[in-house]
Amino acid sequence: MSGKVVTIDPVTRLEGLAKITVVLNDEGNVKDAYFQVVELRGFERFVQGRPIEEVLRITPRICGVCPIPHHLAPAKAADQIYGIDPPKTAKLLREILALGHNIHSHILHFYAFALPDFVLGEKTKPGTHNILGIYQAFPEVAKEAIKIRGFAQKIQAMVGAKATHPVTVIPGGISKGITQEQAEDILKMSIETIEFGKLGLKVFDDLVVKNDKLMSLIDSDAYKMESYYMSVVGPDNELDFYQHDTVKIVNSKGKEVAKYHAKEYLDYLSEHVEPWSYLKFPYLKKIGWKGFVAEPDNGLYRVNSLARLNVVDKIKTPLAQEAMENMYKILGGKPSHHTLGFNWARLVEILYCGERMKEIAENPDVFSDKYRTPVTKSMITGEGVGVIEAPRGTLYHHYKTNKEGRVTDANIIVATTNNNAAICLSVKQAAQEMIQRGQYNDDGLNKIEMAFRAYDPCLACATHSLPGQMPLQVEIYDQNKKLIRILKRKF
Amino acid sequence: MKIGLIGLGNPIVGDDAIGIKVVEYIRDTYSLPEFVEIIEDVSLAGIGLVEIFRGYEKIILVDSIQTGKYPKGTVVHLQPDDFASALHISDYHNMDFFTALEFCNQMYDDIPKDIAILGIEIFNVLEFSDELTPEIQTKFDEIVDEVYKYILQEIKEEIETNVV
Repeated sequence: MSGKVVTIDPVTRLEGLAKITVVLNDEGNVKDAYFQVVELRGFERFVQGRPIEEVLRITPRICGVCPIPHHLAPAKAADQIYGIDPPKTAKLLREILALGHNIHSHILHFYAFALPDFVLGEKTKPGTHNILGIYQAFPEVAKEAIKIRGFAQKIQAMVGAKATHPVTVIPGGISKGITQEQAEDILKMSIETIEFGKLGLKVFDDLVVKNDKLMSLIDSDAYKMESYYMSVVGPDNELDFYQHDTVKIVNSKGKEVAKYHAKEYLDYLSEHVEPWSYLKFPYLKKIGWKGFVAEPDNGLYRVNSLARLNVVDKIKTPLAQEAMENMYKILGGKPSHHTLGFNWARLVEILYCGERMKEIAENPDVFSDKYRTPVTKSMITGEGVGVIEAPRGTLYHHYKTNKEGRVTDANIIVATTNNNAAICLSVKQAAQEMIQRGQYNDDGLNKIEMAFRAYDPCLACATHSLPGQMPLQVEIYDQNKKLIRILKRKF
Repeated sequence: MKIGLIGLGNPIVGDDAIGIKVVEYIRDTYSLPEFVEIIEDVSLAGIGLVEIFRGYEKIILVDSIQTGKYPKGTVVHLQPDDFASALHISDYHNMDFFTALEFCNQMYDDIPKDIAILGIEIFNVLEFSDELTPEIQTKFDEIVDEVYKYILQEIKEEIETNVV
């Protein structure tokens, strides 16, 4: 048998912005696997010469799904460019935006994409292996998920002026505050979010943790990878989505190997380039790049929910702390290397976001009218690096400006780029389990997709969503890359 | 009767912004009855997009398409049924519009049944830019005319239906 290339094309758009290619050897076993993303080009050139405050309004359009992180990270960079520390009220309101967005994003990812993989399985009726299936199987949970997601949307609209494309965050603070009544409204919604966070963990416990088959899937070698982990942390090494600028990295044993201010990120990260991918592969500079292998001397690292929990020493809200401890107890200790554990960690974080939102809403500073410190051109320092934890992981926005505050240089590392090498490796591991001796089926292909889905990857974001979705396509090539067969998944 | 006219796209990804630019131009240049509400600048997909439809009786969506079947700049009148949907969701970012529509129809009771899509065939967009490609820019007036004519036709039908 000759070597084959199996391509899984999971993208919605006609042009195809991402695909999985699996290369088989002569025996029909997996030799290599690639997760390929076509990246939008020319961002640096596009923002050149624009005032930094305008950049804050442009960057949310980078992604139709995650506009808020792309509003907040450049705002932190802009604060540094103006050499200013925004007032407390502004920081609290910005954090509310970050928390609201995380709740909104995590709920959809978990209930629409992760949960169907776990509980609907291959035996469900064609066409129901998605959120519609969840709605039919668990209508009450689905309704609650939609309600809380609506709350998160409302809170983002309240603080960001528009829920979809936030516009209020500016260098030095935020352009409008909230009223005491709005703070009370947020408080009520955060209390319900906490209850929903508890419900989510209970659902996970009932449907997944108590199911031996699913737990052994989570625990299987196909879905485990020992790597470094990166996250922003607070001063006590606590979980933090927005407030601080310190990035910490731990190794696969959980030991701290680096801790730095965002401004120093280039001292710690390098980028590896592969000819087959437009997207670069960041790695830890001091450890070095050794290829797509999970070894202690390879500087491959992971970000996103489970990575955050692996990095932090604690969560400063009680219920989420307890939920995290319980998760690690069941997964066999901290750090956990379970790729599917990212989904569990999302549920812990929904609970944290609800609890932290409640704390902020109870703080009278949140509706104070001191939400902005004016900035002037004379204050310009010329450089800033904003870092936050977006739902999918650490997000860096780095800008240099001239004395007028116009951008001369820009660099963005998005969460999915941080995870790029790990996603490739996870896909390869899953493929090695699911494709053997040239044999594979739809369920195996879905299980390969589960590996990359766990990272909730963020692909290039041209938002035109028509004409609908491409069916999943598998292309098989011979060793000379000649297409010999196309398989389409039937639904 | 409340009609929502939506310009969909990404304003910083070249021709992907065509829907937004056409709807903005119509808003600024032509007059439309009060029952047509304009949401000119939407960069959303999936559930987030469909949730905007809530409360309207009809939606006219102006968006870019890349089918490769039509000359660039062609305005194609489509309906949700025209699209094949695989009903398989890869991830959040790739949520299919039609799955989102079906889902929202189950979740909410105020999603309109009447959804018209005016797709404008464009060039491949993989580069950040806030300008249209010259080819599409040249055809901009024609595209606006096509879209506006369609809207007028829809309005006429609505008025006639209401009178009857």
